[in-house]
Amino acid sequence: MSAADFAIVIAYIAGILGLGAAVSRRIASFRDYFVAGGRMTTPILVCTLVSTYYGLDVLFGASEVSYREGLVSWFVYLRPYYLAILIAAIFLARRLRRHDFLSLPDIGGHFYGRGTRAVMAVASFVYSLPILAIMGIGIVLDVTLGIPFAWGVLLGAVISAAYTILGGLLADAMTDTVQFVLMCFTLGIAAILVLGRMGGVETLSDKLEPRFFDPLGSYPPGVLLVFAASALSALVEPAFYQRIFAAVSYRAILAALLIGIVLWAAFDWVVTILGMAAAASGEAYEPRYALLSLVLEELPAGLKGLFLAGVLATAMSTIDSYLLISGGNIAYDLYRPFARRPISDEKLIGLTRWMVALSGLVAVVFALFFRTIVSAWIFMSTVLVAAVLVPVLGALYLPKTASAAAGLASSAAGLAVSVLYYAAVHVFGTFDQDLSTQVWTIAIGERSIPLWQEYALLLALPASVAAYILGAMFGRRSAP
Amino acid sequence: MNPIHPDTLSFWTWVSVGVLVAGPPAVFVWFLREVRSWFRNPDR
Repeated sequence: MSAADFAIVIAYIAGILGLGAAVSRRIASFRDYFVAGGRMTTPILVCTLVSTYYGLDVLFGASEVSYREGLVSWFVYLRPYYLAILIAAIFLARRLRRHDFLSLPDIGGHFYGRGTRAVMAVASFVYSLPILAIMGIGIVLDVTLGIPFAWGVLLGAVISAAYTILGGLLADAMTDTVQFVLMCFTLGIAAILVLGRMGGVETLSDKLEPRFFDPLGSYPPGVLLVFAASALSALVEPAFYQRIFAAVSYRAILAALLIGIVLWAAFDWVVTILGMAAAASGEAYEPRYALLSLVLEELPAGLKGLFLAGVLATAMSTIDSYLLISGGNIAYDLYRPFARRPISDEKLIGLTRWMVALSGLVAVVFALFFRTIVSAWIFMSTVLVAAVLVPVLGALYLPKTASAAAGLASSAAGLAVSVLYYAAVHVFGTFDQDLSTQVWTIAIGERSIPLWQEYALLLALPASVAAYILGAMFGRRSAP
Repeated sequence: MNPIHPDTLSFWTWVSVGVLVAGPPAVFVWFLREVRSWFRNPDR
């Protein structure tokens, strides 16, 4: 890293903080703070959706899979998300905008009561804690600038939290516009330079085994199913919901999500190809940093700093948004409904700011827990989908079945089964180095069945459906 | 499934790179134009 590279990174951080502070003066109510007053138009929605939803978990996780397995990363691990986002854009967004919601757990509260709201808030909180992005910043700063991992983690969390605490969603979205351009543009430029030096994309097929080009790769069918099923999280993604509620109209959010799908698909494809390029280079990279290492080796001075700023932007645009959501989950969704007295907007904003800071601290503490980025991502989306998907779809599409018992039973069963399954696999199983995941092998008769930690959703989702049906059949009709 | 042909791989890679390099600046300019019109007419 040269002095110019450092200057670019510092200028980027200073610019982001200044922009956040300037925006913070416009906050007058909790609605302003949490959903930008419901006034967001298509271009700013595109910027904030694309940059928020894609963080280092995609940059490192997807390139880790493509470095090991090839194109399966795009076709199986990523492509199902576009379909889920399309469904959310066309069907869910329209129904959701009929109500005056501010958060995902608001839906649970409105249709099922406070209990379901609380379970949904816990699931949303677990999902939204930006552990992976914070971990990613620590890795990036360690690999590129030699900053010790723990300090990098702390630095990334503090900077991202600072402007979010000040200006809420508007500051977050305004900074996202710059971060969005940086993260996409620098990845595109890096791809041009790296692939150009390698002699073009066609050379990959000379250097890699044929399995790298098979869209279904060599994963077992169960894991492919889990990868595809984890895309269901896009249907209950808290950051999507927050932006659906923040949009000025249904047309604005629909257009933003459709444009977003094109940009996400392009981003993913380039990440996948660069992961394969790293595999083709013949260097023995640590799989999850393969893309980063390859690109930083190939880029000239100046562009390295720009790319690093892009990588930091990828992480920070995710950290800020999800810290806001997890802070809101505690203050707005968990504390406010159970408080004895009504809380003023001013107090609620103040409390949410503190909870954003607390969420940052919790995410920093957890940043070391998971072994691979992909498995952590799947755990978090499993908890969210298992606890939230069934009650939300029940409320929006089968409102006559939406009793308090159905909502609470379904969300609690989904949450409990997914957490218990993961706990069991971690207590009784072992970490398989080849598969790079935790596996618990159980013996039934003479057969041994390997239970991957990723299979949790295959149990938890049916449990949530069954509990919803039982609650709808035997529970009282009206919400408390 | 059949492996992806190298030409197909190359085609979609350069399309994706084009989308990443040209798309975000275009959206950003769109955003700036909206900000400018909002400053001219803040009640909108």
